[in-house]
Amino acid sequence: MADRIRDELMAMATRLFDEGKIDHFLGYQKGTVKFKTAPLIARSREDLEGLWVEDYFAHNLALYLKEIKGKVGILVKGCDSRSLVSLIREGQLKREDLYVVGLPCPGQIDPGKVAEVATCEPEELEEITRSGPEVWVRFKAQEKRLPKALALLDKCLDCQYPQPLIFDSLLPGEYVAPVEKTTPAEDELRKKTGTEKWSFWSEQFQRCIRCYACRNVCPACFCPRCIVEENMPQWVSPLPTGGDNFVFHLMRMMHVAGTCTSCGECERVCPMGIPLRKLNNKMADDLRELYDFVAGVDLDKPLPFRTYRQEDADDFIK
Amino acid sequence: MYRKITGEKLKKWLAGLKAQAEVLAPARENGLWTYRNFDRQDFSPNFQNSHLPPKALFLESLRAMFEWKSGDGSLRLNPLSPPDGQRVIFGLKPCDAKALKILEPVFAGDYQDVFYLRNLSRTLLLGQACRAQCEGSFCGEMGIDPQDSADFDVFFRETPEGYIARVITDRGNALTGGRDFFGEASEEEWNLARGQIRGRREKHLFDLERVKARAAEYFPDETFWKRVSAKCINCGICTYLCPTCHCFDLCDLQMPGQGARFRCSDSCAFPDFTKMAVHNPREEKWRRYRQRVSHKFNFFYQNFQAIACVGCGRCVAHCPVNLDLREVLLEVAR
Repeated sequence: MADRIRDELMAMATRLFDEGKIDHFLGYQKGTVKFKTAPLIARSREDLEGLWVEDYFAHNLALYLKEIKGKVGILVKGCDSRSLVSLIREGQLKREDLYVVGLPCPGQIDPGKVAEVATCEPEELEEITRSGPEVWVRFKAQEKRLPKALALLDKCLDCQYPQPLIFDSLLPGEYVAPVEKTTPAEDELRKKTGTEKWSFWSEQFQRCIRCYACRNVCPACFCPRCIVEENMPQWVSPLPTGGDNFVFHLMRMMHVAGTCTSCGECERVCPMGIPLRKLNNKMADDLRELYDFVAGVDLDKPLPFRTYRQEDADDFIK
Repeated sequence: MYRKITGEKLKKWLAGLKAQAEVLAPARENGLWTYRNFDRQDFSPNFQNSHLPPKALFLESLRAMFEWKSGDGSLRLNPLSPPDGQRVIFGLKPCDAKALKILEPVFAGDYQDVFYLRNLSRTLLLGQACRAQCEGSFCGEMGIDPQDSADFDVFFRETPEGYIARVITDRGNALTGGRDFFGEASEEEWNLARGQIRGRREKHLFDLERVKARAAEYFPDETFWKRVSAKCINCGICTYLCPTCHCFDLCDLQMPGQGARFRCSDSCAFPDFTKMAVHNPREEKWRRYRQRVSHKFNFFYQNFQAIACVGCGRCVAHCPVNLDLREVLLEVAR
């Protein structure tokens, strides 16, 4: 199946270049690290050679649209397409500049989770193969079959949009994520008191090394200049102290509220394993509840923080 | 000189050292390997290397250098003393120890950095041979033997019975000299303890000599650097997780009547790293990526006759977009 999808994708992208419809194509290539796919940025049909399709498409390629301008062809899963919708709605992208190729997403495999469930170290994994509702894993000359629900990225388990919301072409295949209708496990942290939450996040942010990978990988973080880099005046100190780390992360979260589609890239790339998606999800739930708004699903609906109505509640203004 | 010790005795020995020194050993915290105060933890066969390089124990990511107090029209500076107290780190890997040696001339040149040098002199380095090739690593290509190294005070190879130790320095000799824990071992026992490295490549990916010879030649090739850096997202992971990247920023914390100057990590991947009042010589990311590679394989070599990379593979394994330094070096060496 992967071969068929790849062939079709290759033909499609080649045609787009040949017909002059695109200047760039954003897809995936085989990674050099086990179970990691790499982004592929093609500038011409010759660059498409490495185009690859497999089961570890974690990256949200919309991130590169911050930088790559002009006519762009882009491969998206359902979740990634929400970033496109959100960026178009925010005026960051023009729909007519994009040629969107939709990928039927069966949910993406998380090798870290597979290793945990198979009870081995991630580096001991030798092969992971998808087979219907199961995932086969081979490690240290053993084989195990795992239910898919235990092998997919967390974000895939409660995915509501496995099919791209906007596209110009669709690749063959079936949209099968979520695995089955599951109620996502409730975040235990939400039941805790303010003090407990404060100490939880203080401890998490204490570990932050301020590499800014979370911000840089985020499609919603499109400010040409980030406030943490302002130094006249310096709003946030570059010193990686608990306090300033806290300010950086909470500020970033608040700033992307309404644009963030909970794609989870920030959490995936964090080298210190800070569970940032907990914050994304909380923010998304609050937006749904308070503004009846879900980011990146509607090209017409007004944005919560850009809209003013006479009858808006103003009881918070004293 | 070679000595041997059983696994159980090694733990007792390390626990005993805690009376005179801070003893650090591999442990997992929040799922990530690090060096933590030794608390008789088991040494897991799964430990390959620490997630963050141990350089942070020498060149801290946050270090107060001096403080000041002001008032009544006067300003008083108070230099802060460098860290003190003996320290022993067990389980360090040959790549990371080599990195500490590579950094020495940077901090012990015309300017003597008291903090780095004190951290080095107060620490005994106890190395441990690797059992597996780390993901993304290319230590072999960089001339590092994962099962032997002279960059330690004592280097341990594990055997079914315990450990064979190669005693390298006088300090290491004094530390392992007591009869209660260590016995004498022969060179033959040492040689026999050399184990297999799981996942080791038979053939090197590239020839380091060719990289050295051609790095300068590649520097002006704008097309090359633009191509290889295209997917870089300008984050600091490769530099902050690198055992030899050592660029830092100085930053003041100013409060009414007092303040302190800190040193913290900085990264050449950040656009503001070279930003000056009127000009930024590395505004585009290909210039910044070129700087990182050229600093390690060209400029540093010219200045200190050493390559500032040990092939630990952290930058390869943890790059969010799989920008693989090995592939870049392979092209340079071609």
